Amino acid sequence: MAELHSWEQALLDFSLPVQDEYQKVAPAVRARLTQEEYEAWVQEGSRLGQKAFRAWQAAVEYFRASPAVLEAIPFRRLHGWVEVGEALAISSAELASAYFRASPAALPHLSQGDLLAWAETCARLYQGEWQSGALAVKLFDASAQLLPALSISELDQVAHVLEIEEGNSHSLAQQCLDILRALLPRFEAPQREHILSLAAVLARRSPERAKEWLGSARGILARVEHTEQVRFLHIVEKLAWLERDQTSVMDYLYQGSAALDRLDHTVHAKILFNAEEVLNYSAAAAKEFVIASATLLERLHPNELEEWVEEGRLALREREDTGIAFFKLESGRAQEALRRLSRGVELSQVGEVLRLYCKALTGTDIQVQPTENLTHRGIGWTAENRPTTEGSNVFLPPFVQVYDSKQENFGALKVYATHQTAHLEFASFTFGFLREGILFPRLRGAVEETVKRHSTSITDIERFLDIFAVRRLASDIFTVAEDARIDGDIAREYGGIRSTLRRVQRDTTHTRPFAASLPLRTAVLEALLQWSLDPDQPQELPQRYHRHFRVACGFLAKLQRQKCLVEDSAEAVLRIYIVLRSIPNLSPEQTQTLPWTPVEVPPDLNPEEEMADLLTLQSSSGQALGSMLKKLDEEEDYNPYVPLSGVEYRGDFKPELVQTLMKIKEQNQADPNAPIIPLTPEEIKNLMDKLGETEIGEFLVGETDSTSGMFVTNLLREAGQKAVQHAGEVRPTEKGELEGDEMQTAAPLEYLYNEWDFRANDYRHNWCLVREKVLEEGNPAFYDEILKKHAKLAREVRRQFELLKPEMFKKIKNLTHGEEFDLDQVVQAVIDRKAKITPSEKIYWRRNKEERSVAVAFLLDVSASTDEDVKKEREPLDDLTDWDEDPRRYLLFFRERMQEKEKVRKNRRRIIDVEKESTVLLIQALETVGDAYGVYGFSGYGRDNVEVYVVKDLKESFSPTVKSRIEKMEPVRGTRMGAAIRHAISKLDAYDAKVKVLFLLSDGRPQDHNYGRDRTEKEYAIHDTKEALLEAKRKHIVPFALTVDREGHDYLKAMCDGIGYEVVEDIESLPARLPSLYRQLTF
Amino acid sequence: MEGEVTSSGPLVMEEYIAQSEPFYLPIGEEVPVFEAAYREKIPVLLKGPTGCGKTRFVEYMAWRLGKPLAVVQEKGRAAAQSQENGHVGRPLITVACHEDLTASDLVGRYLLEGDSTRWIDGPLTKAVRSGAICYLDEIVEARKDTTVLIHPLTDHRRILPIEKRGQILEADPGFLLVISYNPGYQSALKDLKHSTRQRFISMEFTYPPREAESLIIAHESGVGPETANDLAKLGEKVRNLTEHGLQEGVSTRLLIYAGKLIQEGIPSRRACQVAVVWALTDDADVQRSIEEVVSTIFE
Repeated sequence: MAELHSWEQALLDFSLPVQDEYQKVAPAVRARLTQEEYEAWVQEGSRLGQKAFRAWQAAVEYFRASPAVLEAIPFRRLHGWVEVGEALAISSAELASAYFRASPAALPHLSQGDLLAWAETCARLYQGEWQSGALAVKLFDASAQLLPALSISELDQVAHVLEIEEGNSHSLAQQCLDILRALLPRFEAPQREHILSLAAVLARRSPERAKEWLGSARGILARVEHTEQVRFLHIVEKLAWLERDQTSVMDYLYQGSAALDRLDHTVHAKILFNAEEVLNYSAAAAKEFVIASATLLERLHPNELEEWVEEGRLALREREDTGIAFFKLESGRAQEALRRLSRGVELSQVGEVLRLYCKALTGTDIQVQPTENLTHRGIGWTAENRPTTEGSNVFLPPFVQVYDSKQENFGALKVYATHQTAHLEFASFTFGFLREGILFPRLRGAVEETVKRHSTSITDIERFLDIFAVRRLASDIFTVAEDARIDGDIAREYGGIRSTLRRVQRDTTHTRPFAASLPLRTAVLEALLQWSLDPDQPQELPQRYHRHFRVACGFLAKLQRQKCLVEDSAEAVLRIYIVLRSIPNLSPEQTQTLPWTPVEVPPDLNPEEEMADLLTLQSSSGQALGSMLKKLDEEEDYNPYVPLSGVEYRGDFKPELVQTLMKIKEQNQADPNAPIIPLTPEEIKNLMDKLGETEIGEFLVGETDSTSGMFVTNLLREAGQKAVQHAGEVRPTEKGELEGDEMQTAAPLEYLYNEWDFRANDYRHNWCLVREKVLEEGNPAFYDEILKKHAKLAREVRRQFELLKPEMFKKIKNLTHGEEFDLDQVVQAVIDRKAKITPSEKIYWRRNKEERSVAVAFLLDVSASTDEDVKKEREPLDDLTDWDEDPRRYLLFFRERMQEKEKVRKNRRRIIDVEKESTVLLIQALETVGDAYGVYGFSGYGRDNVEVYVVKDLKESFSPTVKSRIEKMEPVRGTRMGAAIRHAISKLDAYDAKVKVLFLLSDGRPQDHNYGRDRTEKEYAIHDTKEALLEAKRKHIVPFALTVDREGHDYLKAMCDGIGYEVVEDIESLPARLPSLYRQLTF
Repeated sequence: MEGEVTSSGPLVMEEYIAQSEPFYLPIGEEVPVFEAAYREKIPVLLKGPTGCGKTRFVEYMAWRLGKPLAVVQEKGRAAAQSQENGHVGRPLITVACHEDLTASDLVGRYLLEGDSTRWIDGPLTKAVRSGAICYLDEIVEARKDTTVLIHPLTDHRRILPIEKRGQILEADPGFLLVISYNPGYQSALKDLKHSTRQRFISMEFTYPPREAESLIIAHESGVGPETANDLAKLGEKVRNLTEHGLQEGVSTRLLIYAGKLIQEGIPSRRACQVAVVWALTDDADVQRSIEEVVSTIFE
């Protein structure tokens, strides 16, 4: 230091860094200040440095910051600035350093009064130890980014959040601050406020969640319409206040925003407005409403949301849980309301009706399925929402909402279905190249010969289309012609649907592209299509091509107006193709200059003559046509052909694929032993190449070997399946069903059932998935062994049941008609008359045959608990470790052990063993009386995995196979009684008998994974079981519950209110008890 | 037409001699086959779904096989009403069988009359005596003891034992037993036993093809050919649902009823609803499906 002034002397007491820093900035500061001010500045610095033990660090920062600070504030404020720093330095030098360090960036955004507030806010975080100090320092540092955007009060909120976090974990607080400094400047004040206040609420309950929220806030809010973000957050805040469980808040944030993002952002306002409405009643319900909104709006118009909310409000008023289930769309009530409010028609609702309808029209066993079932197969169909058929089934869009009322929408769906079935009914796919048509002479053979295009084709339709150079044009014309023929047939055959069809046709023309915007050839074809949809609508075309159009219309009109065959469509295609090919394919720019005028189509036109005239054909022979075609196809074209876009209601018409499929199937059926690939892969590859560029489209992008190979595999697999079997209803969840092994022996039998939610007081729609499994076969000797073991009891039971038999014939006396006189009555009558009393006329008797018609389903609980010993004093198993809790291995081991020790000591008897013994005896007895019966075990894990094991199906007859299955009944897992009972009900319901009994045999209370709100809740399961039993009663099935659980009385009383039940105290008496109970129930 | 009911109660019996030719549209060779069987006294089993024309066919054949007026007069009835070139049909006794129909219902029973009892012939006995065609409709419904009667009547013996009177009645040469049987809806339990089955020649009846059926509908109900054709079309479509939701396809009879209602001025959709849809099934889904078919065909 060169020379020091008096006011600088004090600096000498400080360490070198201070002096260095002073020297560094001094020139810049001096230039700015007067001598007096400069002195004051230095003195401030040295005073600061002396304030505390390590305050010199703050002084360093003070000097360093000074030039910039002095630029930002006038000198008179300098003192105030330093004073704040001094105050900080007293408690912590680090804080003061950070304060000065952050000042240059912060000061421009702070008024004089704010300065102190800022410093205090940041310093507040300092709790006296180093971690909180570090956080406070960090906040000072972050102020550089935050203050330009945030107000002091917002910064205060930030500090507030950090304080709470700090109370839990220092590192969390640090991380939060890192996130906040990046996050907040991106948002505007209202959003920021809510982001912070939500963070504060969350932090109080769970600091982790708060951090999670801040970390994902940007992503979440980006999914919500900008102006609605505040509303969105408002709901979640209230939710966070009310809900103890913060996971549900996060659910709302993630799922709710995801749902909103799936929608058009313009409807967010409507949804959130309604959600706020719901919020007034229940925050949880509002959350569910937002989460379900995307699904909801697939079915409802946004304007219908109010009604929906009103409906939900009523449910909420009844009980909050009812309302929540409603807004979750889980209750039957919600489904019902949805169906009522929605104008659209769901395929799953009307699928069965349409299936029967289509079956009625065609007479073949058609399945109606949602389109995705076809597109997922990967065999060439790609349009997700267009109706179509692959020759044996009809595929329809899962949801139709094109009109304003349900009825009209159903009408539209019916038109779709009718059109597709008409392809089958009026034989679009049986095209034979050599077959004669009705309307037009067959020229295609001669044309093919003349054209001499090389063709290797699998199917006739493929062969036909191979004639044409522009294959896609021909196939488009074929689609237009064949669809016109089919619609004509529908209108002629089915007078009732005519008007709906016309309407759909007319409305379709409104969605068609404008002809003038297309290349000329496509434009003419488009006009032709529109004319075939609505002949009253005038079509505009360039004057010069009116004649071409008229000729083409003439051919189409013939197809439409007269009953004809697909072969006629093909002949028309041949002619229309030639006509269209003779039109130059001018681009829209080129046709713009031509005069477009409406075409008049005369009703009676002889297209053949007109065409000959138009194209100056010498004769109408095939050769003449062929050489004309050849000549036209060889001509250079102006522009490539642009394919025609598909017609919505007519859907995808793919005759080539269908014929190929049919052909493969046919060959498979003709010779089941033939190799599964009747066509060589080359042949199919060849077909695919023809279709590839155009029809299969994006499906075969790149046409790599793997995709084409997949296509071939899929196609063959498709054909290999003799018939696509579907169990009843149309289920959109069955996407995966068609995947898996190619050798599909038996697709697993799966059924969906509702479950009763006693809180919501309503059903949860299609809540449980029941899989039916036929037990594998075990040792049939097992059955006979049991019979031998219980020989005495078996004889006794059998005798009792045999005694019942004669009761079936009853002699009825006192009849006015009958088989024979009843001698006693006749004598009485004669006596009466002699005594001048009016004799009774009832002097006949007859034998009345009382037919016993009983069907019974036994449901046996095979849950894990049936593995318990019958005797409570269980001997501990010495070698428990041997089987690692794997029941199978355990059982194997157990059986071995049992055999070993059989003679040594008494067997270990489990509950399930007793159940099996009872089953054997009962089967024995039932075979005597000849009642129809089914024996099912049930167990499972969770609602999507309820398993019902078939020992003997109701419709099955008793056989050694049944015998051998009994051995295989083994303890499995949970006891979801409700679903199992419902499955048994549906079995009984489908069976024709006068008396139906459902026999439930269990060893304890119903319990299963998620069978209730939490593990400890028992009421849910009991209520559901009770409801299931009541359902049985409603269907005129007599339910009876039998339990071997000695503690069964308490819950059975609740479960079987008004339903018969019995607790078998001594389980060993079960084999004897069961048959006698059965007798009581059914006789 | 003239009928006589011998007993009230569940037994339904008709006996009449046709006065005019019943309308019957032959679909195949059934008429010459039946005539030949009649001449050779071979009993006939008619198989086919309900309402497809079995009964009408028997009536028609009874009329065709009619004998000269004089013979009928011996029986002492229907002489006065004879017309149409003196042609009168052969008497036909139809018994609709039901599950309580016993052998004594067919053969006859004693009635108490004053202090004594009086024997009264059952419908089968009457037919055997008088040489009528006896038509047992839905034979499998009847009790098993009726087969005891049928067996001796349907082989070379052609006798009817009347157990209660200790008599054996030999059949009149004109007698022929015709039974009908609907293989569709009977359960396996009620299937016809082979020992019974193989005493008859079998004639299969199905619903007539669309063109023929529309002629029948037009004739019977009086509707125009177009409506008749639509009704026949409806019949064809609905029958496609048999075994899949419907136990039995719609009978020609129901279609005729629908035609008659339309003829009476009932709108066609409504007429089909009451005569076809509701008459066929109670299953709501199936009803709806058929209604959709109806609304597709009829305006």
